[in-house]
Amino acid sequence: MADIRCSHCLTLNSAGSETCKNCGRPLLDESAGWLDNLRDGSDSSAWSEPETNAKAGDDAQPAEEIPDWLQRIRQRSQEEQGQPQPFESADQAEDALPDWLQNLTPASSTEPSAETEDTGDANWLQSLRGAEQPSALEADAPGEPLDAGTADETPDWLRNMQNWQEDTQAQGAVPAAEQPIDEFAQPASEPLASPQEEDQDWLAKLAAQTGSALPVEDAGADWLANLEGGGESSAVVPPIQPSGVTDWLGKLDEGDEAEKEAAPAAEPPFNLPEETTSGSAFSWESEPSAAESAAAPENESIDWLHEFQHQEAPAQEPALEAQAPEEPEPVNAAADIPNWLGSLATQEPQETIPAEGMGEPSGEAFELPAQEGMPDWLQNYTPAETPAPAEEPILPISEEPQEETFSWQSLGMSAAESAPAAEEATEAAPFAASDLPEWLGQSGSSTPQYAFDQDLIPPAEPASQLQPATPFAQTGLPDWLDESGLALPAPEATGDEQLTEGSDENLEAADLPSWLQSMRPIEMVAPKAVSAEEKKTEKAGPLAGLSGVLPSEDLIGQYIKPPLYSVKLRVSEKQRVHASLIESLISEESQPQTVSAERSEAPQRVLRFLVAAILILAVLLPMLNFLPALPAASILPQELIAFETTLSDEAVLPRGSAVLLALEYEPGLSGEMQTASEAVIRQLAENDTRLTVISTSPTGPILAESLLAKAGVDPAFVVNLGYLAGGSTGLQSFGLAPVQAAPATLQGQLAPWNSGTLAGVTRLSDFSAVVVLTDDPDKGRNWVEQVQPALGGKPLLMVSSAQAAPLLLPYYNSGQVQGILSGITGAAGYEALTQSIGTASLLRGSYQYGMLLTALLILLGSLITGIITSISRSKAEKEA
Amino acid sequence: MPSADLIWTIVGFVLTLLILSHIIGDNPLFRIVTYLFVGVASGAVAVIAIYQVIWPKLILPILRGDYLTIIPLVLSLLLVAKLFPRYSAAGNFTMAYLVGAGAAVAVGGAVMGTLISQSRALITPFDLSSAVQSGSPVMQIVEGAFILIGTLATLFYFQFSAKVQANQSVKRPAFVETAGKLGQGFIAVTFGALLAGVFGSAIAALVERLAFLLTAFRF
Repeated sequence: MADIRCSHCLTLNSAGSETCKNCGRPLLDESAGWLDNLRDGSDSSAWSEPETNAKAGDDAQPAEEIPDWLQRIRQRSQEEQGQPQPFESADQAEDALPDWLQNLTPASSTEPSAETEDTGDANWLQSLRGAEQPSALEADAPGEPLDAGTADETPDWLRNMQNWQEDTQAQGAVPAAEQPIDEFAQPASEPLASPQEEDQDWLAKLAAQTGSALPVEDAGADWLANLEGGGESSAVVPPIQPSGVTDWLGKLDEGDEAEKEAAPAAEPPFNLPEETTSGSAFSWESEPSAAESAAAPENESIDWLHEFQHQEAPAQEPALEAQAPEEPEPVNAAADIPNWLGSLATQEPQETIPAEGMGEPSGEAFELPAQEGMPDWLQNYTPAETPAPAEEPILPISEEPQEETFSWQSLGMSAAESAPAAEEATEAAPFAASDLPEWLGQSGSSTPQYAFDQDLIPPAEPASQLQPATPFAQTGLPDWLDESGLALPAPEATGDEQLTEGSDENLEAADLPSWLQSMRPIEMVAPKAVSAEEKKTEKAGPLAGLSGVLPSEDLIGQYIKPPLYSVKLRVSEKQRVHASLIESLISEESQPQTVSAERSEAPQRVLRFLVAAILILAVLLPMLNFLPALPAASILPQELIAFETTLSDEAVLPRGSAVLLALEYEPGLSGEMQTASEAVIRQLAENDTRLTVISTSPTGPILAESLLAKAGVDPAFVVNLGYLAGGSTGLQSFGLAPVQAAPATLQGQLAPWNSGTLAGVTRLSDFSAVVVLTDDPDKGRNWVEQVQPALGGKPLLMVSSAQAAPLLLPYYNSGQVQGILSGITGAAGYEALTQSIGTASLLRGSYQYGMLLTALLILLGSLITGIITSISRSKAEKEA
Repeated sequence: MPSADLIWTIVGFVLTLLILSHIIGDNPLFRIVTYLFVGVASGAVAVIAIYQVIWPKLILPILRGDYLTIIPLVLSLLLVAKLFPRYSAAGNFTMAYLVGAGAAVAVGGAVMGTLISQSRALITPFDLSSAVQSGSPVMQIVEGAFILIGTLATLFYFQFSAKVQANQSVKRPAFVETAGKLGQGFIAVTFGALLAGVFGSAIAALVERLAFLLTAFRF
């Protein structure tokens, strides 16, 4: 950006200068430099792709190749700078025409008719479609000259142009018809070759306005040269494609590049930006002249432009929007950020752009990119554009084409192809603001277009089939384009449904083999249900209106109502029976039961006390002699008699003989035993019997001491051997070996066996008699069983208690025991036999009363018990 | 009367009254006398066991040079192990020896001293020579027959074996049943005699104690 080349005199001016130092015209630094770069073919830093720039530099037409006539026009304009003339203004107007308009100019001047459609008009219209130049088409739309011109009226310059084109083709350029996209190649050539007569007419009108015909030819040559140069400069187009170009631009560029490789000389798509650049260059060059010749008669062109502006002001806005991507500087200044391009591609066409951008010279718009690489109108455009998406929801592209019936779809252009066309429209607006012929200005009116459009524009239905929707559909087209589009027979064809229907009609249903159908994934076949998340549309915030943007979970759906569990217990019939049984048992347990009154112990105690008292009285009264003693039994028991006989028999118990006295009774019965045995001990003592005491009971030896003492036995004649351990075993051992069995006395001394009291006694058979004092029949039996066989025939006498006598009596009957004295009665009988008086005789009365009373009580008790039992039984029987 | 006898008479008198207090029911006084009796008896037994058994019959022989007494000493010590459950098995041999020896002695004495003797005594009344000597042989034979019947009836009473017949309740033979009934009568008379003996012994004790109470302080 160092120097700025003047667009008029091509003089290089220092950077920052506003006017040309040579011609004094204002400079457009950025655009001028940009154009210089284009002309020089030099690589500009504004272009982001060096390869493209290099290619553009190679293909660009150098400045020296500017035709001479253009140089002369410029020089003349410079010379006549201070004196604006109608011709000059007309010349400038011609110069200011962009290439696309220059392409349009011959087409419009040719006044294509129905007859010429077959030859040239149809081609250049097709080139219009292929060139994606709605503005150019609109420029051609004013078809007033269409009816007038003929091929014969083609001026020379057109013929020259045609010749030049033929030369170009002859040089090896690929025929436009052979290009993949014919529509793009033809506009560059066809319009030049076709309606020459109309051009001539058009030029005549133009000359009439300007007052000079020659300049018209020059001008016509000029714009033809521009047209030629446009084809040459089409190579510069690629730099328009910044790295950040949107998809539709990229597609367009790709297609353009392909075409450019095939036919670099005639590629209308590339001409679009190129022409715009050149056009802008022309407009930029013509702007000063237009401004200077504001009062000249040539201002009629400006008038019609103003009129055009007034009429098509709404349409210029989208045109300016589309112009933005054409500006190379902003593209570069955007630092490869194609946001504004992207926004242009995606946003609706109603983006507002200051109207000044349209009315004012384009040079002013080109000055803006010098500010940080982006023009003001773009800067203004951007902030105005920013809030637009937030305010209006983005609508599907397919919904827009109804408003844009004159979309490029109707021209059979693809979306990518139509994008540059929209740019052309935007480019036309500023250019139209400068200098356009009146017939072009009339192009703003929609009325003359109808016939043209209806005749030339193919039906919308196939267009809709070819082009369902384009980003430009939202960019908005000028009203005059819309109006022209409205006149189209099938505006409804832009709908998605119609598109689908039309496409469905042309498409044959795929006939997949069964094996291939079976291999199709289920996801492809099965209808995919749209989730609620995708359906959910944001209602607030910056994402308002967008659906499925933010993943969200339906929290309400996550909560499931907890299952209800019945608290009622299901019980089977069997369980119910068991439960009732348990319940009845528990209820019975809880019910109070009548407890029979416990009998009081008082009567029993009284009875027991009464019995005891009776017994005591019965015992005491005889002792106290309050009761007379009962008569003694006259008949004594035989065993007692035998006992007394044995003891009294001196043959058995000689005086001073040794007698073994065994005390086998317990202290509890010592009273009876002492009473019963007292007479016996006393008799033995009277006979000087040596008594040897032994006992198998531990307490026996002590009781023996008491007994002997009570009986008055001389202890010198008594040997207390003490306790004999071992029970029956001890008795057996004592019977077999008394010395070893009872080696010591109760006092701890050695038993005086075979000495003293025990002199001559070493065995049991050495004792004269054995007297066993026992209250236990078992102990008495043990003595009989264990000791009696060892006595050697010596008498075994027993003094027993009353309770043990019945069980010991059989041993007497068997002869094992020679005599038994039992209890007080036996003792009393013994005393009676011995005629002694002892304790037994004294107590015999008490004992007898006691025994009698006891017998009576037993009988009474038995009687009472019998009576009570009989009564209870009788009651029970009665109750039963 | 010596003072010692007086003291022991007073003690005997009081203890006798305390025992008689059982007439009004179980009471602490009765229990005191009971415990006192048990305690005194136990002490007396311990002293007697030491001075009458262990020392003269176990230790003294060893001291005198009779080392064979060590065997009963060892057996006695093993018997002490019965007090400790962990080592009680050590006294099993001693217990076995005591039980074996005691059973043998008891069985021998019962067979020879009771069974044979009583059987012989049962037959003896039927000995006419002896009956002639007694002067009343019929009565001896009748007495002998009565004893025999009583003895057999009692033995039949304890005969519990019987034949099982179809559709009939188990029942001893009629002879055995009748003899058993008769033996039951003999048993009842025997038990009555024993009960009378018990009552006689109790009355004798009561008489002796009352006599003691009456004569205790009769100097």
